[in-house]
Amino acid sequence: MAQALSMSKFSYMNLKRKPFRTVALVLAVVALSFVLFSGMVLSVSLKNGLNNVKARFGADLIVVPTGYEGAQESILLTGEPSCFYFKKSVLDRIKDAEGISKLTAQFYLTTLGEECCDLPVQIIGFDPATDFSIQPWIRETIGGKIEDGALIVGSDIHIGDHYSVKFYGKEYPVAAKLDETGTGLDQSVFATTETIKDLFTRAKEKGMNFLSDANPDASISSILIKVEDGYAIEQVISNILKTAEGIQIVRTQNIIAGITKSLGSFDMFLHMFSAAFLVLTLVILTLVFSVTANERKKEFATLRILGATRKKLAGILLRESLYISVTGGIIGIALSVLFIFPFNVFIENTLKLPYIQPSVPLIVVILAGTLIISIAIGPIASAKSAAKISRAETYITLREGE
Amino acid sequence: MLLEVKGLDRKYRQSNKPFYAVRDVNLQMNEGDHFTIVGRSGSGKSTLLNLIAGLLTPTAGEIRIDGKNMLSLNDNEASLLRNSTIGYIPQEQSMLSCLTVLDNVRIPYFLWRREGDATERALQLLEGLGIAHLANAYPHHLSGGELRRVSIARALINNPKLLLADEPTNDLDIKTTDHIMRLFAEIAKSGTAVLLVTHDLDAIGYGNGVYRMDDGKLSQQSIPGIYASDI
Repeated sequence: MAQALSMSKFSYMNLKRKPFRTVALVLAVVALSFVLFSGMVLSVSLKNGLNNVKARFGADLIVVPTGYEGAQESILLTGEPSCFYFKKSVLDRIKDAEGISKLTAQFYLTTLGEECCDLPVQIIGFDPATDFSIQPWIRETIGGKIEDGALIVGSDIHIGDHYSVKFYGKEYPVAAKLDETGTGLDQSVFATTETIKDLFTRAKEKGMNFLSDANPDASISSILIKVEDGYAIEQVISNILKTAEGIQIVRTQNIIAGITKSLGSFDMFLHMFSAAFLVLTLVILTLVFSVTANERKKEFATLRILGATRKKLAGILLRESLYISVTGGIIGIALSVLFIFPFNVFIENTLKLPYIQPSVPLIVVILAGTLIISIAIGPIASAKSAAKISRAETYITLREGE
Repeated sequence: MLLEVKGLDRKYRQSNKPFYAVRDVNLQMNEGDHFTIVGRSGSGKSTLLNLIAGLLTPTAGEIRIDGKNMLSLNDNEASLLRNSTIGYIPQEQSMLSCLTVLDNVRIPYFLWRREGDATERALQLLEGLGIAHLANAYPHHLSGGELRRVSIARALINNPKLLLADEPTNDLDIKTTDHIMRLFAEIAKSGTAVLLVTHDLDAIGYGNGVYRMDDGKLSQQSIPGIYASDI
């Protein structure tokens, strides 16, 4: 016995009859939902990243050797490892500059080809006695101080089952893995000055995967400075520059402002691109449904003769558009999920902006929103044609179709 | 009374002047009646049929089918009446190209909620019209005569009380015309009122009443009064 012939089946058969047109319309909705979902996830991820950067940059100023301003920014933003040093005596010279509330030195090491990591790793040594930049996060994560000999690792560092990481042939216990920041700090390893000395010695002994020959007893890489309340940053920079030569000062506010500017432009591009895609898809679908409805006047007139109500005729066209948009919406979102989540590191490296993916509940909200827009676009685009079809006088449309 | 048409008008405007496609038409049909309307092209035959089927709205007059005033029905009621009480065979090719012949015949059954399945009846109708072997074919594979027979089967699927046929023997050879007209006569004998319009002289003489349409006006005729030169 043949199957019952519902109007849903009839709509499906109509779509099946014109495979090329159906696939083209589905692809338009696939592209729309892909752009909307990816764009929204990218936008939220970049905003999350910026908020984290603002929260995590504890210092107002970072003093580095002349010529290493860019390298310092890369360490902070993208985790691109770098080593540069100046004499430790610089710290003593600038510490009395007027307007400094706190200052602390850091020592940088880089590695190559360690088991933990696909890419070179930045090791940042800090002085627990004076640090004000890293330890607040550590306290937040482990609730206390880090012991000498242990490491704190960024969220992108693989630490294995033993909660340890091997550098220069030695396993170092990992005290904590920090939450994702969306910055280069996620690909960095943090250690106290004492641990850095041990790492440095081992690296020297092994003579491998070590890019610097500086001495942590006599050298430092950067000095982080917190400006005292009430002092203008420009004035403090001027005061510091007077105390020592061969130094350059990075303003973290400038880094944040740079990110904000880049993010703002990119975000605007994403929104405009998504909006343009939405309008374009709506126009394409409206035109195609209008042409299709016109082509099918005779078919609708026949159904009317056979006893279909005006509502049923409109329902056929709306149902067809709904099938197209549901299929396109689901495929588009599935593709963007497959693209945006597995390739988040690639996207982050390509954009060179701090990037933190939204939480699962927020992703679900974005997904639902995208699906609603994608599903709604078909019926919206076909609404006018459906109304027109249901208003037409049957006999006339049947004769017109000849 | 199955069909009662009173003072039916359909007025259009041509070059800003009123033009009556149908003017003051009166017609009555009972169950089992088999009437044929003849007339020249443009005389208003098809317009009258479409007015009776509720596919066009008259500018004046009244149409009652099975006791219901067509003009007072809302879209749902009129559509249901068209689906369950009227079988309509349009002059134009009107198959749904995405459906097989069998599904084309079955579709009126599924437009409104009904119990059971129409497959067996659809196959019987196709068998009776000699095209059961085409049940799974698509309309674009069928000849003009075969398509005409499919639309007859489709019009009969819901056992209508009134069958309206607009030039049902158009493009058919004499043998097929005879076969189809005999079928209409059998349908009328079974109690369904059959009203068909045609300009095919071979199609006249199978029913129990002939009408002539001239410039929108309907008049009853005796068969010898119809001449090929008139139509």
